[in-house]
Amino acid sequence: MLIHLTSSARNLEEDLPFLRTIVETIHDNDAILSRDWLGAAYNRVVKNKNYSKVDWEAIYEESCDAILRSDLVIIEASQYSFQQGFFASFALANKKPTLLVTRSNIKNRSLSGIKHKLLITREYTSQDDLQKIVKKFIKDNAVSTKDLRFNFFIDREIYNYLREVSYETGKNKSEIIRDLLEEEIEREGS
Amino acid sequence: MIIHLAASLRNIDEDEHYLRRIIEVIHDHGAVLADEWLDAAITRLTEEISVADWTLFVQKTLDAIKSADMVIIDASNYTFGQGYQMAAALEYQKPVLVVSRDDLKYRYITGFTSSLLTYKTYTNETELIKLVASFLKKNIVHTKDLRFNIFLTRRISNYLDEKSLYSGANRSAIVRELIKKRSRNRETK
Repeated sequence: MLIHLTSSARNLEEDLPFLRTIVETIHDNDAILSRDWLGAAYNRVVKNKNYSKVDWEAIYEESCDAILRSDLVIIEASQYSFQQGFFASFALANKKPTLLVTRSNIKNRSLSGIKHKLLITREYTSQDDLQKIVKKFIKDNAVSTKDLRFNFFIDREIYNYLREVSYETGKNKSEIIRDLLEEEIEREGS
Repeated sequence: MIIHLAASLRNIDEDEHYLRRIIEVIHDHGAVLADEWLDAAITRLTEEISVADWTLFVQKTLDAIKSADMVIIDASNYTFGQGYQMAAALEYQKPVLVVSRDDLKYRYITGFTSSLLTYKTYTNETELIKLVASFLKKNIVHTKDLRFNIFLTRRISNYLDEKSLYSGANRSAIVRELIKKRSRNRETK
């Protein structure tokens, strides 16, 4: 499973232990980061104190690409900054289950008013707390990469149609439905 | 022309003066605000009360962005809510102007690549007025019908002729109807 983690590079030193907890929890749950930016940001911001030589355009492109490739998105939003808001909206617009965690009290913030079926917002106080929240989010959204069994009811009309097409094409009914769904996906994607 | 103005509710007293200048420029250009939230925010600040229902507040804000022709964001406080609104505005294909008194030079926003996005720093209200006026002029679309010229291939032209003959509708009406249909389909998806 691919997970994109986003945060703010400002005050990275303060957030670092918590971001590392998130990364560890991701790895412990057999998932990987879609973009491993933490080491580079640490060198740039904490070690070298260098804010000027950053190719923000490249970082933005890579971040968007990472979100699009990801199965899940985790946003550490304790700094409550502009790009965290941007990527929260971007991830939800692209239908990614998103976990937003923060050490700040969000009670009187607009963030508390964002309601979306794919968004989970949680406040945490410790690394233990954070680990539990992230673990639960990954578990709740884990989709096995194996094929999924899918049961559904069909009426007589659909059954007759599938039987006829199956007879004509030599394909089984499941293959016909899968092909139909694939075509629909292609059509909507093109 | 409808404009959505966004800013941070935190430090609104610091921003108020500049936000009022932006609103004046908007009105000077014959445009209106999608949501006149500033006075309510100032009252809340003065009377030390908070937003009663944040869910409703966010929904109202998103509705205002949807209904607007353009979005102007004062991002001097550079907060989560402003980033969220910017992403939503770009998602809805709205031209967005982000203005800030704080230098944006080393900020993440300088990496955002969208032809719809303009970001500028201002130091005083004269500069701000110029930035907003220039943005409005550049993106203004008059509400009257617009003349639109298009080259047609012979094949399309023949198709429209035939369609017009059978339906009794003129070619422009056929093209308009087709575009509207596609647009509505997109909305319902």
